[in-house]
Amino acid sequence: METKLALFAGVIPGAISLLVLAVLWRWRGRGAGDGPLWAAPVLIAVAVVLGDSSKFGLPELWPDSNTYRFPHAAAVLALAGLIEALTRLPAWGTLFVRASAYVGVCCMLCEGYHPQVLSTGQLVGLIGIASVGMALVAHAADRGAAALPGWRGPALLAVLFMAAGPLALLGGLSYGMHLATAMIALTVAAAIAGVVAPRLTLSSGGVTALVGMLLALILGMGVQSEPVSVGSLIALALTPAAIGVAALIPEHRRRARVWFTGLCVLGGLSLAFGQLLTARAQIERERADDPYAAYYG
Amino acid sequence: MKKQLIAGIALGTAGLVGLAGWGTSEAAYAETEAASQAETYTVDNVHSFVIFKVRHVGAANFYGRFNNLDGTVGFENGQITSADITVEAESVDTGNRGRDDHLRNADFFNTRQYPEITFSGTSTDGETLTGELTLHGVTRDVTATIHDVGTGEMRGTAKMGFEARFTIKRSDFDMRGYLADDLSDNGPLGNTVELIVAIEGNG
Repeated sequence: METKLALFAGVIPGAISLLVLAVLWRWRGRGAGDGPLWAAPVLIAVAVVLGDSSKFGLPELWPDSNTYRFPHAAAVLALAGLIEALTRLPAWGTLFVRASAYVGVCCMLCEGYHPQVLSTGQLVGLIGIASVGMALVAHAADRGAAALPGWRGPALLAVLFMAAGPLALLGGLSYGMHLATAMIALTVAAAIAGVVAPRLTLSSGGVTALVGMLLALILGMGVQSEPVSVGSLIALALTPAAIGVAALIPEHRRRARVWFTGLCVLGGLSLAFGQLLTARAQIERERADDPYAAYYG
Repeated sequence: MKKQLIAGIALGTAGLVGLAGWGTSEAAYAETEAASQAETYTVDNVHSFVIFKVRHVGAANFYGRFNNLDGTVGFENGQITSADITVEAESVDTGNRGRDDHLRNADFFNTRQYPEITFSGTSTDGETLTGELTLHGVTRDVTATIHDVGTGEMRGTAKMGFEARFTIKRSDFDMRGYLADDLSDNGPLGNTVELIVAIEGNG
């Protein structure tokens, strides 16, 4: 299973991404403009579909279990990324497209947990916080990625996704790990391609899809978490957002960096708080569940 | 006189024994009467078990159980007539906390989305019980063979029990995690799952 996952979620999408990005940027990115920005969100969706199919088989049109909806989430994110890349939307328009896509991702991945785990209020709150918060994270990361030359942006994002893997493993979670693998493959490929084509950037589409996948990863792991994994989940929710945005925003935009980092920490804390509440409910339920009570009662 | 006394005691003892015997046969008769009537028994969670067996990496079998279940069983003329069993998926127990957490996870039972496993058996021929099993959000018809049907009594409560055995394929219930590509039992975790449901019911 691990070999198959490494192959389909890592090596193959990584190789495809490297080839496509390097060739496209070398070919189209020399002149004016930002190069073929549309390629990144499409490649992200390809990486997720390949990674997911290695674990769960080919995706269905609309599966009942939200376990199998990651490819659908990736498709929505790719669509948002494409709209961003192919059109010149104003800032508010881009923010709206991102937030809408993230709302879609939240609905897709959390719908099945209502009302068993999440009440309507919790679900709406989670969707609101996660979508708006992550849209702001994406906005900051996108501006940072646009300002950074070549390989630096993708390399930083690759490090973030690499950090997410061990954090998830520390928490005893394997669910969603295949997404992290696919994202690592893509960002590493983009970083290598960035050396070949220094104008390469994942802004205007790519970052939107990547941040959306990070949201999917956190949502997937968060809802499935057990009390033992709370610590790593909090770290997972906080670290990529805070460190990532802080690292991606260029040095000279100090004020913006402080603001966005603050917002991202706030978003991360909100997610972490949600995780904490879920874990608390779990612990209380476990305490109430006395296996000897029925026997002696 | 002594002989008359002994005879009297013997007669009295015989009478008492006879009376006790009459009482026993009356109790047996009442039990048979009760068994011949359709009765609904509630599942005794403490004395009931759901045990499963699945192949691991094609090399060995591992076993697990669910600790919490409830439901009702219809019983008539010494036969199971119906069974409605609900199992709490979260109560899966394989003797290893980490593995239990993984089994609850979306890779397998996805207990947060599908907290219950249900079986509703409606058709029986005395030796088998056919019904609908809902697992991981998917409902399929299954037929279980019935074994070891028995009745008893404990602290004034009528008891009945039986064991149902059946086999399912994980792939039929959309549980795709860690399956072999050819859906055989030689993947990281086998496709075929053998189940034993041992029920004790309270009348």
